[in-house]
Amino acid sequence: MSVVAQAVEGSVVTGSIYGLVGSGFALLFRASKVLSFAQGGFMLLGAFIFYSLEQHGTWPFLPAVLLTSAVVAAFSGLVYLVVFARVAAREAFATSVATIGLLGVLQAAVSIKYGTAPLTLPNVVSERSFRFLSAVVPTADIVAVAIAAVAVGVLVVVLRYTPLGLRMTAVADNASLSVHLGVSAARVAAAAWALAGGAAALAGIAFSLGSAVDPIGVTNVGLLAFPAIILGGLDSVGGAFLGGLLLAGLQNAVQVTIGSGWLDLVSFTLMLGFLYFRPNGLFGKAEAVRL
Amino acid sequence: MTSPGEAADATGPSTPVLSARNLTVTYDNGFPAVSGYSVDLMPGTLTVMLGRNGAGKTSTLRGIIGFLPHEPGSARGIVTVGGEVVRRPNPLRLSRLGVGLVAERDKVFANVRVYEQMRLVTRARHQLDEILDFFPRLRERRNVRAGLLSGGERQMLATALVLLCRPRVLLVDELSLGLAPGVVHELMSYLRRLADERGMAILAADQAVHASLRVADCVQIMDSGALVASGPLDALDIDAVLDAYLGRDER
Repeated sequence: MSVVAQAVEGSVVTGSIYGLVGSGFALLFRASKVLSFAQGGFMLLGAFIFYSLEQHGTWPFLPAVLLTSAVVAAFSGLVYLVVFARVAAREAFATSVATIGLLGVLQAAVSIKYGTAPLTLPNVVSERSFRFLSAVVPTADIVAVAIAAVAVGVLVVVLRYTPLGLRMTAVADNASLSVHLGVSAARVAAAAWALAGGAAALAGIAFSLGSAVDPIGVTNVGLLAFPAIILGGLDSVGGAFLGGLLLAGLQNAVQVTIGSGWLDLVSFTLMLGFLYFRPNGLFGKAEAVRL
Repeated sequence: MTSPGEAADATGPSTPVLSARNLTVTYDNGFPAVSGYSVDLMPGTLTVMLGRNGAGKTSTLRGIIGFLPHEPGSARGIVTVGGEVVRRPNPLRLSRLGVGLVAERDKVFANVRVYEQMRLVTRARHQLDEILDFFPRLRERRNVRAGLLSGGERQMLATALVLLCRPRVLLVDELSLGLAPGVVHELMSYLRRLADERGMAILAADQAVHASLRVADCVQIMDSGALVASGPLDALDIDAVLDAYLGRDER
């Protein structure tokens, strides 16, 4: 029983992190039509900036989290405006490939500064654990899930209820018409990149809280967000989050029943299956088309 | 046949709200689509641009509002709005100067509900109500995703979206495309009302010769990327011009 409860606990924590990366990714895809492979890079950047702030225990937890997220958000938006905006409007595909280059650059830059070995974070959150049903729940996990839930909540609210969200929806639908109606598509896409970058940074922090700041682990989570998004629906922010939870649940089920060697095989096979049979994912919308 | 300059004289002493001089449009593959086009658009005046397929009507309208950096076309010539020369025109800039284009294709947000996309352009309640009063059909269809509208409703929405930007000049590309004659008449009378009631300067490129001439003040005829006739409707021998450039079959 406790194995199952612990697996569920692990699924919620990992799933929230997949979901957070995935939600940012879905937002970015909607507004700029770019499939960004660089989300893992922004997670990495976030984790290490957070590490630098907390290394000597000088910053209180929440301001450090917010500052990190804001810095990475600004950087991500700027990268879009400077590097991608011109190309993206013409060649979303080429831009998607270029994000692999961006991931490489971010990884290399981080490894030059911090090396490739995992770095241990000082205790930024309490080491206390709680018992819930028969699972042990460390404070770090609660904080990680809270960060993810709040951040995804913010993304969903921005997208659904703000003028910026409506602009993002419009630009996603028809970027050139937006421009004709006086909406700067480049600026809207940059805002989406900023939000996605900020979300990735938070995911990087959340992932590192429970363990160490591990460059390889963080980048892997960035990649595993892909099956999560495909599961949830490429353009659905909330769906991507639920997709993350489902994927993590499935992975834990696989780990408990078959063994951890099968994790990636099952995850990515599932992604291929969805792309084949249900390309809009569980929550993505089919286009409104009248013939 | 008159020059574009004379069209201005016929509508009175006011100055054109938009004018284009010697406009040339070239696509990136080197294909020259329009050359030496000029026009003066007066407030409250509806100018209709006629021409066969490929005569350069769409390229002319696009040339007036300019191209985005990533679009495979470029325009040269002088465009003035309200007497001021527009430097390096592009759709965003022209939209902010009060020049709107209802494009031929992809002119609505297919996956967004009618009312939502109108709110994208403005949140001013009275303006939204006003436009829904002008197009009552859109009020009935306000919660429908635009991809599911009929062709005529889509044209109304496309026009409404541009109108919500409060343009002084409205450029309209093929309002009648694929629509039944009755719907075309209805849409054309909307254009007439916009010119009369709101003093808008309108340039409408169309193939529906009769429906558009019924509401026009001025006419321009394009052939092979150049203007072959231009002037007030009553000053042109319209039958002769249409025969010469469009041929009887296309009328």
